[in-house]
Amino acid sequence: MNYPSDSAARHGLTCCHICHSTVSLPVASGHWQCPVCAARVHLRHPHSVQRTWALILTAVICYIPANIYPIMTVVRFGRGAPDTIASGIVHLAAEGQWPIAILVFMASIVVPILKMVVLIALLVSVQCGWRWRLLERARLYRFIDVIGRWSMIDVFMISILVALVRLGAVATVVPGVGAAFFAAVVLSTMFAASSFDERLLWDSAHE
Amino acid sequence: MSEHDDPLNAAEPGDPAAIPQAALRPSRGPSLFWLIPLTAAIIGAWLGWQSYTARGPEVTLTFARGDGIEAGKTMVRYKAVDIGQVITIGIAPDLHSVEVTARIKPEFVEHLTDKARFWVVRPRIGTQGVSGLSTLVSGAYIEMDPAPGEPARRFVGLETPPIVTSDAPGRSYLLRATTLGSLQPGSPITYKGIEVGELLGYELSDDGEEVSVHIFVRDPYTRLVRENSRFWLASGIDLSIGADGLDLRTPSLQEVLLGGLQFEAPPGEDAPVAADRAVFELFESYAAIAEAAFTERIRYVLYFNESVRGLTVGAPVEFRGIKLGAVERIALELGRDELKPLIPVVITLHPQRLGVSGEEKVGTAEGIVTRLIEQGLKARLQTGNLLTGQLYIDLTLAAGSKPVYVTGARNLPQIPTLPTEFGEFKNNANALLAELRRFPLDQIGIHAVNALAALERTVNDPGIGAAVRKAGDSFTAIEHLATGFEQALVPLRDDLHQALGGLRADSPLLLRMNETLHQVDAAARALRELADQIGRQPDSVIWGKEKADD
Repeated sequence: MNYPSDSAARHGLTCCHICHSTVSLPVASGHWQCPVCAARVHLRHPHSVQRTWALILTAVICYIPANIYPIMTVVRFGRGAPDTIASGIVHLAAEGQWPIAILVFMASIVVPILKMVVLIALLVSVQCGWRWRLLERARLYRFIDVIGRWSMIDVFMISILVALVRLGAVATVVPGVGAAFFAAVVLSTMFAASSFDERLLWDSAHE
Repeated sequence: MSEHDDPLNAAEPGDPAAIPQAALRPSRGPSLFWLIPLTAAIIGAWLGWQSYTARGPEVTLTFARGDGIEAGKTMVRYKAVDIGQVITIGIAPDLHSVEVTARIKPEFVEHLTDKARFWVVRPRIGTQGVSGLSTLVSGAYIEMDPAPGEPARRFVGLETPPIVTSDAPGRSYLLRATTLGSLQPGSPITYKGIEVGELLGYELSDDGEEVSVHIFVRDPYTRLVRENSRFWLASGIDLSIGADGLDLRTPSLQEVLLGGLQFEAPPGEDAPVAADRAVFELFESYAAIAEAAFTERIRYVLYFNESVRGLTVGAPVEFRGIKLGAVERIALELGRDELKPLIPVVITLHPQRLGVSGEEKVGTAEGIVTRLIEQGLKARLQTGNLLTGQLYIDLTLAAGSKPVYVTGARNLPQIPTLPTEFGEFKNNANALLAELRRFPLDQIGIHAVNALAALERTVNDPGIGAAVRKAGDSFTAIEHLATGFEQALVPLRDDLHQALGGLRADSPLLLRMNETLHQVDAAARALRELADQIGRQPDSVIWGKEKADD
């Protein structure tokens, strides 16, 4: 595919996000502010790759306890054992709740892992300056940016269940440590996706 | 730098030179974003470290069955507090049992000793009541009973909950019994009707001769168990018919179902309190204790030649209604020479039942019995119970009858026997009948009939009537004669009365007569002396009386 050979960044120009004034930056690096509205302006998000790496790393670190520790305990008539994400999916499947099991599997396992893998791949591709399938990579990034928030479905479900199911000895739902880590995974991947500057992908196209 | 001074006016679309230049912001150093993964890593590491240190040891429990145990769910509890959790459950390699691994909390490690016991709490309904109902809802769990001992990690689970947990205050004792009876684990131990403990379990001794029964007595009742306490089986229902009527005594329903033990210390003896794990003998009944107290035994043999149906081994031997011993053996013997059936009954006498009064030392018990036999001690069978026909042996002193000894091969001393009272009566009746049979009743009857016929003939003879009339006349004449005789006697009586009147004690006639008689007496004495004198010294008539010089 042919890409336009020129870009604003090559001329040290950018657009203020607030007042949309075209601003020229003498040097690509450093912190600048808009001469019109005094908002921050930069050619690319500063430390975008670094920040995304940090957040992805956070997500990877948190993903381990999120899967090891139980995310919640459902106590029904005094019986009940803590469930991790995986054991919860297995229980749902064993009870024949296949749609819910698949939904939870997608939201809790597939999406976070996909996000982390895709973001890491994008970061690596940006750092290496790959020009391979730029449009597909850009679409992939937008896709994970959109579906990333759906991983929060698990966290929201646990929150609602804990708040609603307070029936004493009959049924009680207690959140586990894993839920907090899982929420951290989802949040950090969301922040990682937003801190990733999509324009970096295209920079390689203009070199 | 003019763009900086007036940025707004310099803006000219399409003119790159007119685009205002951004101002430089002061840098704030390295990105703080790296704090986020650092924090996450620290929190994760801290959690990991905490759960690693919170991991207790794994223990392996072996159960016969795995009912209700679920990996990852079933808890290990002590006093209803979770102290661990089952991790895996599997079958033992030998396929005979179920192996359960459980992780115990680290603070409980020191209680994992070889004395600790584990069992599965399930709902149970038994004679001792209902237990573990809560597990119907909550599911089975494994209960632990810790006890001090050597550290251990492998345990064999109990199939039934222990009756007494190790934290229960009290003492356990060992009873040696010949038979278990109806005892079961959980059988109550009562003292004066109060339940003070339970039976823990039992086992057969190695030689199979006796049963070791483990019991537990709770505090504060342990002080009732003395070193000389005696335990006995108190199971069953006691029905007796006495002079007061029917007497039915039942222990508590639990004791009827489960059997029971009772104990007491002999009254009057103050023995020290028994130590933990003390050993006692278990008697079969309260009466057996008294039996066992009579250590001295003498054996005698009695020979009966009548049926001993109804006599059993253990039947009492009584002397005037007081038990002195028991029947030990009953057999049948045929004399070799005359083939006369004899029944030797071996009895055991307990001389300690026999109080001997008096200061004098009477010697050994055998000596006393031998002397009693000389005085006519005999044994005979008596019916003890008319309904069942049970016999007992009654010793009596029958001085009249001669002791009958049977020459037997036994080396035991013999007490002569009497036939039963009924047998005696039968014998006497038989003898009487034999006598009667010898009596010639028919001949006597014929003679009597003849005599009566002769008598009748005599009475009917007319001569008899005349004779009777003559006899009547004779009686009248005799009566007349008697009257005349009486009249003639009256004057004679008066004369005699007068003559005797002069003979009263103070009459002069009597006084004079007395005087005269004294004189006659004196004269007679003088005459006798003279006669003696002349007898010895005939010459004294001439030479006078010689002086006695010796």
